[in-house]
Amino acid sequence: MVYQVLDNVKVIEVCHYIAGPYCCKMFADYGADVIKIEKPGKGDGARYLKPFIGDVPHPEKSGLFLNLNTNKRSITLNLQSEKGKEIFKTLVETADVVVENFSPGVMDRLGLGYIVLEKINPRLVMTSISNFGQYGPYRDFALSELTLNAVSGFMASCGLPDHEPTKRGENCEQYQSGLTAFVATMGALFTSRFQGEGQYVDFSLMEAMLGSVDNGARDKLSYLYSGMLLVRHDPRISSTTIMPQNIMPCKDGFVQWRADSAWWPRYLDMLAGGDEKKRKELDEQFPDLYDLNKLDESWAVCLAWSIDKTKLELMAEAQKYKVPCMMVSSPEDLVENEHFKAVNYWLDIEHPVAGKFLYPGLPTRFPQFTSQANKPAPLLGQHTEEVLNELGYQKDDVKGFKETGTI
Amino acid sequence: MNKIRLPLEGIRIASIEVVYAGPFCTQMLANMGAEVICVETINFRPPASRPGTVHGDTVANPNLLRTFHDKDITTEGIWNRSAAYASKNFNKLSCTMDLTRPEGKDVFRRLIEKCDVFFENNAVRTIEKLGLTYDVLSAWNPRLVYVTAPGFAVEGPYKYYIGYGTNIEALVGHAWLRGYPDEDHPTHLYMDVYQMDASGGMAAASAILMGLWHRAKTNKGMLIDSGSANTVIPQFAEAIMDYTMNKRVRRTQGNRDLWAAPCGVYPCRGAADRWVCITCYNDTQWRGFCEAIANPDWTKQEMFATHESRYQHQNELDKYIKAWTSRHDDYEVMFILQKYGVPSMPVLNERDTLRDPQVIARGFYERVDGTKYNCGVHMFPGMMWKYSKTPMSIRIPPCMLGEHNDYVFKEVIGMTIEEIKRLEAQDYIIGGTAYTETALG
Repeated sequence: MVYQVLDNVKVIEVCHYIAGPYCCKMFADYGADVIKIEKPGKGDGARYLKPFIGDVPHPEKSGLFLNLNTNKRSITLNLQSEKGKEIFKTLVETADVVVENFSPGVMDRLGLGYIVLEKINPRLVMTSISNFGQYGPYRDFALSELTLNAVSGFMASCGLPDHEPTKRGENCEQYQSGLTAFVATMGALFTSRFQGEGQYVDFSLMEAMLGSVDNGARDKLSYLYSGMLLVRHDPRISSTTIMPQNIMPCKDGFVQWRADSAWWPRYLDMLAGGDEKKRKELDEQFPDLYDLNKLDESWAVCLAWSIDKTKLELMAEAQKYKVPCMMVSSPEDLVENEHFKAVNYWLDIEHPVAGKFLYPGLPTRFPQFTSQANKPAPLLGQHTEEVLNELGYQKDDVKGFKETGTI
Repeated sequence: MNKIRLPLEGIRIASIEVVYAGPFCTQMLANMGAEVICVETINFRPPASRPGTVHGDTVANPNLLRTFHDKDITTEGIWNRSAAYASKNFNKLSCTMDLTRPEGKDVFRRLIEKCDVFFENNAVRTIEKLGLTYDVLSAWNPRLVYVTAPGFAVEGPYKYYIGYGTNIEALVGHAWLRGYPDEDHPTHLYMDVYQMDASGGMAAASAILMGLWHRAKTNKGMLIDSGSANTVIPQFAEAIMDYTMNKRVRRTQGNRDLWAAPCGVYPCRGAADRWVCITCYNDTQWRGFCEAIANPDWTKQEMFATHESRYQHQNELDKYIKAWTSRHDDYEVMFILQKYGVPSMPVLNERDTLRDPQVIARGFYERVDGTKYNCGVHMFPGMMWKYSKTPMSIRIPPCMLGEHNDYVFKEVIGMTIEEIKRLEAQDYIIGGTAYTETALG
């Protein structure tokens, strides 16, 4: 049966670029009615970001925008105009959530801050996503994906010694922040639904990074515990055993190994491939898993064993022995991967202007139900009239709004 | 007016969680007020979840030492004391039972009957072997929200594949898309930094919230598959879409960006290893940059005239910028450029984050008293967002192994003291709080 978990939630999105729209995409993909408010004529700035189909810039053909805005409705609304503000407030009366990611203070200056909206709808959850939060000395500072990596606290330890620190791939931290903002907003929605109290969520991209798992929180606390910083280092230095735990080249690319003492015997079985004599020789060659003097020798044996095998062969062979080795995929390898095809991970979505191609699928799934997350991103203002009609405005009103540039 | 309760107060979650993603997931919900009960075993110590010394030789390893209070790895109860454990297990409770024997499992059944959510992120085979799959638990408690977050998914060719976050990140393409822009870019290993644990944990937290939302609507539980690989792929959407739309196979861009120029990491004056990141996404930010550094002649060259030409000449641009940043303090560069609206931030290390004016103003770090597990008093990285009416905080220090057995067995499950004593005597539940063996194979 087709069923959407969040089909009783209505969200007003006043967001642009990545983090805010990704937060609202989560609501939309799981069934919420997400109304995206865009600037008349121009729309979300992400409509002008690469990649474009055929590399030709077009506001309805940005792959980044198309993916971030699936299952949403778009209305154009000039929030500077009095009528536009009135329409916005009427929308807020009917909504459960407002998510905005203007610079701090913009919504207040428009007369649409939480202090105003909460009076219109006391159960409203309003999430403001900003670079550094709604207060503090950096409140008005600008941010980018690269500088977001910089303030996380983990970038300093990323990369090789004697090189500059390096960021994570693509724009993943803005996506991670958007996902975190979805969790924050859902939490507030529980207070609203079950205690009848709306509230305001002050969401800072910097804080979302600072508290994130692994190098985020762990190494900050490690420093406070021991006074030792994590510095960029040769991956071999952090090995506690001689079992490979790095990325090694192979016949047609790279594979990622991972060490764990419990897996060492299986790993040796894998190298020996059922040859008992060879297995015995390996035991003699490497009698002590913890003898780090033999680290280079052990890694060299692994490299020699794997260099003439393909990444797919290596992964299959290692997993047969329950050794954690996986291939390094390019975007092509990933999209063509048998597993993700078999579990129907990719969404095949047809867009009226952009056409039909595959999109990344849902992060979490409900096996008992069929979800329906394949509505394409809206054209700029595609649902303006539809949404205004739902609010009770008539055809003539809509015509008037168009003439005055309200929509 | 009645006091407004934390968003998830009254929700009880039983969790069999390991390594990073799992504890991170329930940390979010515990912060929001849920009662998270970690169900643990004392029969072996999970080395990545509760780190300690595995073998004499590892003691000298600086990567292990640095995660312990005063670098002390000799004190009893080492499994309660690693920063890797403590940083994501506050606001939670811990109880211990033997799930491998029927009587221990029966105690678990009685706990599940009192819970709203069950969460786990083990290998699929582990949960199957323990006999704790959805069909079993939902029969015990039909209103149970069951969230499983294994490496892949509960189906498909890779269902039983084993791997840590680092392996899966390679498989989903992150290793390919990061690192310096060289031919061997995937080999620039980022030790211990795994995007997948962050995305997997956060997505699983969202799954639990959606499951509870569903239950409030329908009064029924549900199964949610939050396989970690599926959660991280969407974060590389642009590279994937470039392939599905244009058949272009992107490589790493290093510290560059598809849209910005300049975009880089530049060395600063002073102590070693001080860097500042600068990005100009558009003409406005570039003009701000030029004005901020007082329009030196080099900025007026033809090759830097338009955004496109600056994008073409990034290497030349970098040389000039590097010469300028090298004569300044990293924070100084930030203040100079931000005044003109240019995204620029120092690369903060762990120590810097404690002293950063914004972090201080927002009160991100919180004081935690860890004397009961021999870690003294420390500042902990705290909450990742702020609620106006239900402020979150570190209410309970990181739970020690089996610390809340009494509470869970007596108050939650409702056992009598005699019953607890009988089960303890047979080691089905364990009154002690130490591992029976400190080393795992």
